Amino acid sequence: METNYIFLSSGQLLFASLLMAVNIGLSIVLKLGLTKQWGIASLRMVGQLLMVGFLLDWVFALNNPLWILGVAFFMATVASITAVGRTGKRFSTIYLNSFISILGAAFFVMFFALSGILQIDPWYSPQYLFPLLGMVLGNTLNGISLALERFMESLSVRRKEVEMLLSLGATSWEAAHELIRDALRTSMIPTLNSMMVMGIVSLPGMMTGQILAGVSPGEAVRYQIMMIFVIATAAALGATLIVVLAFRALFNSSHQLLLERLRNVT
Amino acid sequence: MLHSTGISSGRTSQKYEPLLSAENLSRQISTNWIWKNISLDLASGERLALTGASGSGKSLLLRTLAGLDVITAGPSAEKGAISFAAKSLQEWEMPQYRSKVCYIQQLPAFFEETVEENLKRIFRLKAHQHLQYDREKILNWLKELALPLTSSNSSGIADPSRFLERPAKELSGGEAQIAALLRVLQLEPQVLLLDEPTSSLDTELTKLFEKLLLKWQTEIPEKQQNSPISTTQRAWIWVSHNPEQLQRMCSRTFRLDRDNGN
Repeated sequence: METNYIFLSSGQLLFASLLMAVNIGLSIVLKLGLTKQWGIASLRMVGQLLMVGFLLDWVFALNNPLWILGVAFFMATVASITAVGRTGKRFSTIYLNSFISILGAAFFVMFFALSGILQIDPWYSPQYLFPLLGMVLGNTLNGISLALERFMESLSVRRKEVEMLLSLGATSWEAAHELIRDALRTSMIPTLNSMMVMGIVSLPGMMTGQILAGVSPGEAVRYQIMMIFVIATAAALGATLIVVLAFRALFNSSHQLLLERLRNVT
Repeated sequence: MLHSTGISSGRTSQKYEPLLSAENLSRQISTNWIWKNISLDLASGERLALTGASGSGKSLLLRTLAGLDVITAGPSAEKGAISFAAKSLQEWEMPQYRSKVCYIQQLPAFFEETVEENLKRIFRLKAHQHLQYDREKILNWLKELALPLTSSNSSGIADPSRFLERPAKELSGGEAQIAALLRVLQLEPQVLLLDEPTSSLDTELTKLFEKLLLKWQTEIPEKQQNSPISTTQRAWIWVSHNPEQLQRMCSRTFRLDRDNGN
């Protein structure tokens, strides 16, 4: 398996970076104003990935569950901050709620995948844990951020509708139910769509990576199938958790909508 | 709900308990007090006008009485309170309270479906599961809002059943106010909190609207008809910028910018 695998040297990476000349050239010729950004983005990407590679090599070598968990928590924290970062409105406990949602969703599916499906021994084996966790977090954060943005936005846009229902005797759950449903559907539809065309329109990154590393396509798709189930569940679970938590933060037990708790981010 | 308030006109002579009572309410927006230490009573069967200049917080007061806004502490940190039918707001389940004390938005909201579906939808709420949608009742109310055919004015509800089939989002401002009123009346509330309920209606339709409401207000609710201790009469608090309307529709006035102690 290892025979047809090509290790990339630094020279080869440098050669690859020459491709950015196309992007920068386009920016200059067409006055896109992105010249500097392409440069910064390239440097950041290279720096961040090299650092991650270095860090993961180190954690792999340690093979210590505490360190592995520590890095996993750090990744979850960054994911939860990023999920909030894309929303246009905030409330005071939004970061905590995002963290709880990411952690809850990721913990559930990771436990299911590592000790249920794959039955890895030990369960923290970094070779499996980190690639899986990375994909789970990436997808969960998308789901969370879509659901959260949609829910908060429609609470302010459709405030009159919600308060109409409240003033006619609806419980806060009854009054927000349509908006909760709408936010969850919005967050789940991208996952659903991508599952529908999986393998036809898109060849997922994990599968292509495994094929590059020498795994046969027939084997690689099996991992991919498992992975899609795992991330679809994580995203749905994370979105549901965050919407329920946001609902609890923005209504009180007297069934009052507390829109003043939402502030716009400029 | 069986609370024994005197309903005869002689209620002033005896000790009575108000149906709806607000004590020491204050409202602040950023650093400005909109109103401070307001106390306000509404007796069973009473029709109260709520007036005040623009920006005096009439709608805010109605929203607070409807339990939509949190009751905040006043200037010296004293906490205001609302009670209804001799029970404080804390003792009420909010949905129960709000189905008895109903607030009607000035610009009512509807779902994207027909008027009738909007009216029916409310009965799916837990608080109204003991009630049932009554098409006949709605049609009768709509007939009372129908203008005589001889009228040159095109306003009014010409065909009640056609009205119910129209998409609610396409109603004119006035029609929406009518639909919103019927949506509330069918729930048999005891107190209406009306926020400029006829602001989008023309003069003739306003008259019919007022007539309908006056008739509703003096009716004995069905639920109480056979009860020997049926004592609670319907009441309202009406916000309007039209003094003549308030004179027609209300027996007492509460001026926000004068009666709130400022």
